[in-house]
Amino acid sequence: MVPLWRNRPLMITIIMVIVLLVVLIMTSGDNNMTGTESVVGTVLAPIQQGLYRATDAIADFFARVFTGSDLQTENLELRSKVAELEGQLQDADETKQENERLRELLNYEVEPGVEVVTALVIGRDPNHWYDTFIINLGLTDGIEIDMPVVNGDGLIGRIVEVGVTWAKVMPIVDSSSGVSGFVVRTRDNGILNGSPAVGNEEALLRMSKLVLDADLMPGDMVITSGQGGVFPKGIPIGEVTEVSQSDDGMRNQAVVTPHVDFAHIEEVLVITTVPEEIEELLE
Amino acid sequence: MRYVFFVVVSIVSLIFTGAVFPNLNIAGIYPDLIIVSIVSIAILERSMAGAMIGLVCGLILDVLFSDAIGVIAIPYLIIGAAMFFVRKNLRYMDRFVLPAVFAFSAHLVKEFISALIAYMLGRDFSFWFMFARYILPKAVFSAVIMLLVHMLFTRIYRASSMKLKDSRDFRHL
Repeated sequence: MVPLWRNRPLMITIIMVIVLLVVLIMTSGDNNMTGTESVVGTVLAPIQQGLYRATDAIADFFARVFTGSDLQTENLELRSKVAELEGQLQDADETKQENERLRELLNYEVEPGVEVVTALVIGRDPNHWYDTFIINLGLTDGIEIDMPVVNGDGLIGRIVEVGVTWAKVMPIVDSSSGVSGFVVRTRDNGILNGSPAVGNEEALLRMSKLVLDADLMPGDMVITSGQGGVFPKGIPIGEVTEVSQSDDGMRNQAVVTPHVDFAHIEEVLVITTVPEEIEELLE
Repeated sequence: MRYVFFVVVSIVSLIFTGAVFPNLNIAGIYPDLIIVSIVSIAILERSMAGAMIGLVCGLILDVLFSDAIGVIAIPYLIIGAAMFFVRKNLRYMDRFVLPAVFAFSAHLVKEFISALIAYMLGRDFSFWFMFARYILPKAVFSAVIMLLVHMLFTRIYRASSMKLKDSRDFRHL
């Protein structure tokens, strides 16, 4: 049997894992990007954007195939006549859907003086333990860390990392995210954290730190409170679906279903005005 | 030629894992093409090439998506190295069943390591929910895709240009 230290592949693997573990510990919780990270991200961002858009069209095509069986039968009879038009129709349909999504984005009521920029989602974390996604705007577009990200439905999350032409967004349903919010009807304050047990598809939020006499009920609307200095006050977050007491019985807690469909985000708005300036504008 | 093949496999796996599958999937379930490539190459090569491909792909994905460098690279590196040791000591190998079983097992092990790292980084999650919702279906999907990918890679490895040529090769590590 070969002694452990003579087993080169094993020794190389062990050394590499140790080195990576050290790097992992050193870089965890650090949002400052190194030069290498920034360069690699900048090179790959346009490629990702193209691929993400292309696969989006493919996904739409399959969605139409599986949902429109009646139309499909009819189309079979006309296929020879319309074959050359199918490509154009697909493009037109994609553009129409994109227009609808952009129109929905405009539903987000921007206060006068508050600046927003529209960004496209160009990549998602392939590791389902994390929920971050990448957008196609970065330092050159004025994007900075902690800027809030929203769409027409409400709050999505915040920027956690910025490259030259891309940025990373941490959604509010991520388990390490925390947002201060309050219930519109009762004005009760609480902290909303991502609920990872339900994953991306049925993303929920848990609202904690509510006082025991908080009179919450299912259907109550929750919005950002403006506390914490990251998210401006008044952005819709979600709707209370369940109310219970905390384990120690000292406080109330609630399950909040976010307004945003986190599994299908394609375009977002980044609020580039800092919360303090927004507060001043509101006053 | 082998190195060109490694580069092409890495790029294609990265594109599918980072941009195509997260957008084009079945209810959030899609195969891990990097794991499939690592396992197939480890089986065919009996070398550490799979581990190196996993390391490079993992580091690039870490730069793009992860909270910290190593989150994705460590599991891929360990899987590639483990597959090398398993293959080195295995005398029997068929073309379909064992590769699929290896891809399935490798996916499970990779997710266990990822869960451990996520826990270390302070993530809050329900492992059994994640196991039933994502890990198991993805592992099955990867095993199915492995049948196709391994068949393709086996054909490519029949080419004479894929044969070992010099002592600097990964096979001599």
